[in-house]
Amino acid sequence: MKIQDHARKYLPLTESTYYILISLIEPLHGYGIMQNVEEISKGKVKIGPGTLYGAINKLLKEELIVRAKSKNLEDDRRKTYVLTDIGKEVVIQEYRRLSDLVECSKEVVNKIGGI
Amino acid sequence: MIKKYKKLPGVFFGWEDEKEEKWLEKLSKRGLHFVRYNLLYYVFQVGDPKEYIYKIDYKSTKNSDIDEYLNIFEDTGWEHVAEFLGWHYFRIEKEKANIQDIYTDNNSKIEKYRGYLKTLKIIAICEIPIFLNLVFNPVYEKHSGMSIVKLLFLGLFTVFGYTIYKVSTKIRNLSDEIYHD
Repeated sequence: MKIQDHARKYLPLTESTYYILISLIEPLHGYGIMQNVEEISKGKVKIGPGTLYGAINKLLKEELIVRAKSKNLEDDRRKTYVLTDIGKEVVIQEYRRLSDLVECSKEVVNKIGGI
Repeated sequence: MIKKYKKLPGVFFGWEDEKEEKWLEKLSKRGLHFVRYNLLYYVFQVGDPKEYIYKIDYKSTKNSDIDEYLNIFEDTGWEHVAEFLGWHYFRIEKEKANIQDIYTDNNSKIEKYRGYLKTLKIIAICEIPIFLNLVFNPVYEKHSGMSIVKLLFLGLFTVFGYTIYKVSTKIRNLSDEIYHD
Protein backbone atom coordinates (compact mmCIF):
# COMPACT_ATOMS: atom_id res chain seq x y z
CA MET A 1 0.00 0.00 0.00
CA LYS A 2 1.22 3.47 -0.81
CA ILE A 3 2.15 5.61 2.18
CA GLN A 4 -0.51 8.17 1.21
CA ASP A 5 -3.26 5.58 1.24
CA HIS A 6 -2.02 4.11 4.48
CA ALA A 7 -1.98 7.54 6.14
CA ARG A 8 -5.54 8.32 5.02
CA LYS A 9 -6.88 5.57 7.31
CA TYR A 10 -6.03 7.59 10.40
CA LEU A 11 -8.00 10.70 9.46
CA PRO A 12 -9.63 12.68 10.94
CA LEU A 13 -7.51 13.07 14.08
CA THR A 14 -8.75 14.27 17.44
CA GLU A 15 -7.51 17.67 18.53
CA SER A 16 -5.20 16.11 21.16
CA THR A 17 -3.72 13.63 18.69
CA TYR A 18 -3.01 16.35 16.15
CA TYR A 19 -1.24 18.47 18.76
CA ILE A 20 0.77 15.50 19.99
CA LEU A 21 1.88 14.59 16.46
CA ILE A 22 2.98 18.12 15.54
CA SER A 23 4.93 18.28 18.81
CA LEU A 24 6.94 15.23 17.80
CA ILE A 25 8.82 16.69 14.85
CA GLU A 26 11.65 16.63 17.41
CA PRO A 27 12.09 13.85 19.99
CA LEU A 28 10.27 14.71 23.21
CA HIS A 29 9.30 12.83 26.34
CA GLY A 30 5.78 12.77 27.71
CA TYR A 31 6.05 15.85 29.88
CA GLY A 32 7.77 17.71 27.03
CA ILE A 33 4.81 16.97 24.79
CA MET A 34 2.37 18.35 27.35
CA GLN A 35 4.40 21.54 27.78
CA ASN A 36 4.80 22.00 24.05
CA VAL A 37 1.08 21.56 23.35
CA GLU A 38 0.20 24.12 25.99
CA GLU A 39 2.76 26.52 24.56
CA ILE A 40 1.90 26.27 20.86
CA SER A 41 -1.83 26.41 21.54
CA LYS A 42 -1.24 29.49 23.74
CA GLY A 43 -2.70 27.72 26.73
CA LYS A 44 -5.93 26.79 24.96
CA VAL A 45 -5.23 23.08 24.84
CA LYS A 46 -4.01 21.11 27.82
CA ILE A 47 -3.47 17.38 27.69
CA GLY A 48 -3.92 15.33 30.83
CA PRO A 49 -1.56 12.44 31.60
CA GLY A 50 -4.22 9.75 31.06
CA THR A 51 -5.11 11.15 27.67
CA LEU A 52 -1.44 11.48 26.75
CA TYR A 53 -0.50 7.96 27.83
CA GLY A 54 -3.44 6.51 25.87
CA ALA A 55 -2.54 8.51 22.78
CA ILE A 56 1.17 7.58 22.90
CA ASN A 57 0.29 3.93 23.25
CA LYS A 58 -2.10 4.04 20.32
CA LEU A 59 0.31 6.01 18.12
CA LEU A 60 3.15 3.60 18.88
CA LYS A 61 0.94 0.67 17.93
CA GLU A 62 -0.10 2.38 14.69
CA GLU A 63 3.57 3.24 14.07
CA LEU A 64 2.88 6.94 13.59
CA ILE A 65 5.54 7.54 16.26
CA VAL A 66 8.47 5.48 17.58
CA ARG A 67 10.57 5.51 20.73
CA ALA A 68 13.66 7.62 20.06
CA LYS A 69 17.12 7.53 21.60
CA SER A 70 17.44 10.34 24.09
CA LYS A 71 20.30 12.74 23.36
CA ASN A 72 20.39 13.90 26.93
CA LEU A 73 21.92 11.08 28.95
CA GLU A 74 20.83 12.47 32.29
CA ASP A 75 17.29 12.25 31.10
CA ASP A 76 17.58 8.68 29.92
CA ARG A 77 15.04 7.47 32.41
CA ARG A 78 12.39 9.27 30.37
CA LYS A 79 11.46 7.68 27.06
CA THR A 80 11.29 10.06 24.13
CA TYR A 81 9.16 9.73 21.03
CA VAL A 82 9.42 11.02 17.48
CA LEU A 83 7.33 11.04 14.29
CA THR A 84 7.81 8.29 11.70
CA ASP A 85 7.43 8.80 7.94
CA ILE A 86 3.83 7.64 8.12
CA GLY A 87 3.30 9.97 11.06
CA LYS A 88 4.59 12.89 9.02
CA GLU A 89 2.34 11.93 6.11
CA VAL A 90 -0.67 11.80 8.47
CA VAL A 91 0.14 15.32 9.72
CA ILE A 92 0.44 16.60 6.13
CA GLN A 93 -2.86 15.06 5.06
CA GLU A 94 -4.70 16.26 8.16
CA TYR A 95 -3.30 19.74 7.62
CA ARG A 96 -4.56 19.74 4.02
CA ARG A 97 -7.94 18.43 5.08
CA LEU A 98 -8.31 21.18 7.70
CA SER A 99 -7.06 23.89 5.32
CA ASP A 100 -9.55 22.75 2.70
CA LEU A 101 -12.36 22.95 5.24
CA VAL A 102 -11.34 26.47 6.27
CA GLU A 103 -10.89 27.56 2.66
CA CYS A 104 -14.23 26.35 1.35
CA SER A 105 -16.22 27.68 4.30
CA LYS A 106 -14.58 31.07 4.46
CA GLU A 107 -17.19 32.84 2.35
CA VAL A 108 -20.10 31.42 4.30
CA VAL A 109 -18.56 32.23 7.66
CA ASN A 110 -17.84 35.73 6.41
CA LYS A 111 -21.47 36.16 5.34
CA ILE A 112 -22.83 35.19 8.73
CA GLY A 113 -20.45 37.59 10.42
CA GLY A 114 -17.90 35.18 11.81
CA ILE A 115 -14.77 36.84 10.52
CA MET B 1 6.05 11.33 64.66
CA ILE B 2 4.18 8.06 64.59
CA LYS B 3 1.91 7.71 61.61
CA LYS B 4 -1.64 6.78 62.44
CA TYR B 5 -3.71 4.65 60.16
CA LYS B 6 -7.38 3.91 59.94
CA LYS B 7 -9.23 1.17 58.10
CA LEU B 8 -12.65 1.63 56.59
CA PRO B 9 -14.71 -1.04 54.89
CA GLY B 10 -15.89 -0.32 51.37
CA VAL B 11 -16.66 -1.76 47.98
CA PHE B 12 -17.12 0.16 44.77
CA PHE B 13 -17.99 -1.64 41.57
CA GLY B 14 -16.18 -1.16 38.27
CA TRP B 15 -18.62 1.43 36.97
CA GLU B 16 -18.49 3.48 40.17
CA ASP B 17 -15.00 4.93 39.70
CA GLU B 18 -16.24 8.52 39.76
CA LYS B 19 -18.26 7.89 42.90
CA GLU B 20 -15.19 6.35 44.53
CA GLU B 21 -13.06 9.39 43.56
CA LYS B 22 -15.56 11.74 45.22
CA TRP B 23 -15.64 9.57 48.32
CA LEU B 24 -11.85 9.66 48.67
CA GLU B 25 -11.89 13.45 48.20
CA LYS B 26 -14.49 13.82 50.92
CA LEU B 27 -12.41 11.73 53.34
CA SER B 28 -9.22 13.71 52.61
CA LYS B 29 -11.11 16.87 53.54
CA ARG B 30 -11.70 15.20 56.90
CA GLY B 31 -8.00 14.32 57.25
CA LEU B 32 -8.18 10.73 56.11
CA HIS B 33 -5.74 10.27 53.24
CA PHE B 34 -6.04 7.17 51.14
CA VAL B 35 -3.05 4.79 51.29
CA ARG B 36 -4.18 1.51 49.73
CA TYR B 37 -7.07 -0.78 49.04
CA ASN B 38 -7.28 -4.42 49.97
CA LEU B 39 -10.30 -6.43 48.99
CA LEU B 40 -13.24 -5.07 51.01
CA TYR B 41 -11.40 -2.38 52.99
CA TYR B 42 -9.49 0.89 52.53
CA VAL B 43 -6.46 2.03 54.53
CA PHE B 44 -6.12 5.74 55.30
CA GLN B 45 -3.42 7.77 56.95
CA VAL B 46 -4.69 10.17 59.58
CA GLY B 47 -3.44 13.73 59.06
CA ASP B 48 -4.44 17.33 58.46
CA PRO B 49 -7.46 17.94 56.23
CA LYS B 50 -6.46 18.58 52.60
CA GLU B 51 -8.23 19.31 49.36
CA TYR B 52 -7.14 16.66 46.92
CA ILE B 53 -8.42 15.68 43.52
CA TYR B 54 -8.46 11.89 43.22
CA LYS B 55 -8.56 10.16 39.84
CA ILE B 56 -8.67 6.44 39.21
CA ASP B 57 -7.28 5.18 35.93
CA TYR B 58 -7.59 1.72 34.47
CA LYS B 59 -4.43 0.45 32.78
CA SER B 60 -5.37 -2.28 30.33
CA THR B 61 -1.99 -2.44 28.59
CA LYS B 62 0.85 -4.76 29.58
CA ASN B 63 2.94 -3.57 32.51
CA SER B 64 6.27 -3.65 30.64
CA ASP B 65 5.91 0.14 30.28
CA ILE B 66 4.80 0.82 33.85
CA ASP B 67 7.71 3.24 34.48
CA GLU B 68 6.81 5.27 31.42
CA TYR B 69 3.19 5.29 32.51
CA LEU B 70 3.96 6.47 36.04
CA ASN B 71 6.50 9.07 34.83
CA ILE B 72 3.91 10.76 32.65
CA PHE B 73 1.59 11.15 35.63
CA GLU B 74 4.21 12.08 38.19
CA ASP B 75 5.87 14.64 35.89
CA THR B 76 2.63 16.60 35.90
CA GLY B 77 2.33 16.45 39.65
CA TRP B 78 -0.07 13.52 39.99
CA GLU B 79 0.99 11.33 42.89
CA HIS B 80 0.54 7.60 42.37
CA VAL B 81 -1.07 6.41 45.59
CA ALA B 82 -2.06 2.80 45.02
CA GLU B 83 -2.93 0.08 42.57
CA PHE B 84 -5.59 -2.59 42.75
CA LEU B 85 -6.20 -5.12 39.95
CA GLY B 86 -5.19 -2.72 37.18
CA TRP B 87 -6.88 0.31 38.75
CA HIS B 88 -4.35 3.05 39.51
CA TYR B 89 -5.17 5.70 42.09
CA PHE B 90 -3.72 9.17 41.53
CA ARG B 91 -4.14 12.38 43.47
CA ILE B 92 -3.05 16.00 43.31
CA GLU B 93 -3.55 18.91 45.67
CA LYS B 94 -6.41 20.95 44.28
CA GLU B 95 -4.61 24.29 44.34
CA LYS B 96 -1.52 22.85 42.64
CA ALA B 97 -3.45 21.24 39.80
CA ASN B 98 -2.81 22.83 36.42
CA ILE B 99 -5.23 20.34 34.90
CA GLN B 100 -8.19 19.14 36.95
CA ASP B 101 -8.46 15.73 35.31
CA ILE B 102 -6.16 13.04 33.97
CA TYR B 103 -8.38 12.76 30.89
CA THR B 104 -8.88 15.91 28.88
CA ASP B 105 -11.08 14.55 26.11
CA ASN B 106 -13.91 12.08 25.84
CA ASN B 107 -12.18 9.93 23.23
CA SER B 108 -9.42 8.93 25.61
CA LYS B 109 -11.88 8.43 28.47
CA ILE B 110 -13.79 6.04 26.21
CA GLU B 111 -10.56 4.15 25.54
CA LYS B 112 -10.06 3.72 29.29
CA TYR B 113 -13.48 2.08 29.68
CA ARG B 114 -13.03 0.04 26.51
CA GLY B 115 -9.83 -1.41 27.95
CA TYR B 116 -11.65 -2.31 31.14
CA LEU B 117 -14.56 -3.81 29.20
CA LYS B 118 -12.15 -6.01 27.27
CA THR B 119 -10.70 -7.41 30.51
CA LEU B 120 -14.20 -8.01 31.90
CA LYS B 121 -15.28 -9.87 28.80
CA ILE B 122 -12.23 -12.13 28.83
CA ILE B 123 -12.85 -13.04 32.48
CA ALA B 124 -16.56 -13.59 31.81
CA ILE B 125 -15.82 -15.95 28.91
CA CYS B 126 -13.41 -17.94 31.10
CA GLU B 127 -16.08 -18.25 33.76
CA ILE B 128 -18.80 -19.65 31.51
CA PRO B 129 -17.45 -23.23 31.27
CA ILE B 130 -16.81 -23.36 35.03
CA PHE B 131 -20.33 -22.20 35.68
CA LEU B 132 -21.95 -24.58 33.18
CA ASN B 133 -19.97 -27.45 34.62
CA LEU B 134 -21.14 -26.61 38.12
CA VAL B 135 -24.77 -26.45 37.08
CA PHE B 136 -25.03 -29.39 34.73
CA ASN B 137 -22.37 -31.87 35.78
CA PRO B 138 -24.25 -34.61 37.72
CA VAL B 139 -21.11 -35.38 39.75
CA TYR B 140 -21.77 -32.29 41.85
CA GLU B 141 -25.37 -33.27 42.63
CA LYS B 142 -24.30 -35.57 45.43
CA HIS B 143 -22.28 -32.97 47.28
CA SER B 144 -24.16 -31.07 49.88
CA GLY B 145 -23.03 -27.45 50.04
CA MET B 146 -22.80 -27.38 46.26
CA SER B 147 -25.91 -25.29 46.05
CA ILE B 148 -24.12 -22.56 48.00
CA VAL B 149 -21.18 -22.65 45.58
CA LYS B 150 -23.63 -22.51 42.68
CA LEU B 151 -25.37 -19.57 44.25
CA LEU B 152 -22.06 -17.78 44.79
CA PHE B 153 -21.10 -18.33 41.19
CA LEU B 154 -24.49 -17.17 40.02
CA GLY B 155 -24.01 -14.02 42.11
CA LEU B 156 -20.54 -13.44 40.69
CA PHE B 157 -21.84 -13.95 37.19
CA THR B 158 -24.65 -11.48 37.73
CA VAL B 159 -22.20 -8.87 39.01
CA PHE B 160 -20.00 -9.41 35.96
CA GLY B 161 -22.92 -9.16 33.58
CA TYR B 162 -24.22 -6.04 35.27
CA THR B 163 -20.76 -4.42 35.28
CA ILE B 164 -20.40 -5.10 31.55
CA TYR B 165 -23.81 -3.52 30.99
CA LYS B 166 -23.02 -0.45 33.12
CA VAL B 167 -19.58 0.13 31.59
CA SER B 168 -21.04 -0.23 28.08
CA THR B 169 -23.68 2.36 28.96
CA LYS B 170 -20.94 4.68 30.17
CA ILE B 171 -19.08 4.32 26.87
CA ARG B 172 -22.29 4.98 24.93
CA ASN B 173 -23.07 8.12 26.93
CA LEU B 174 -19.53 9.46 26.41
CA SER B 175 -19.81 8.80 22.67
CA ASP B 176 -23.16 10.62 22.56
CA GLU B 177 -21.53 13.63 24.21
CA ILE B 178 -18.90 13.75 21.46
CA TYR B 179 -21.59 13.62 18.82
CA HIS B 180 -23.46 16.53 20.43
CA ASP B 181 -20.36 18.66 20.98
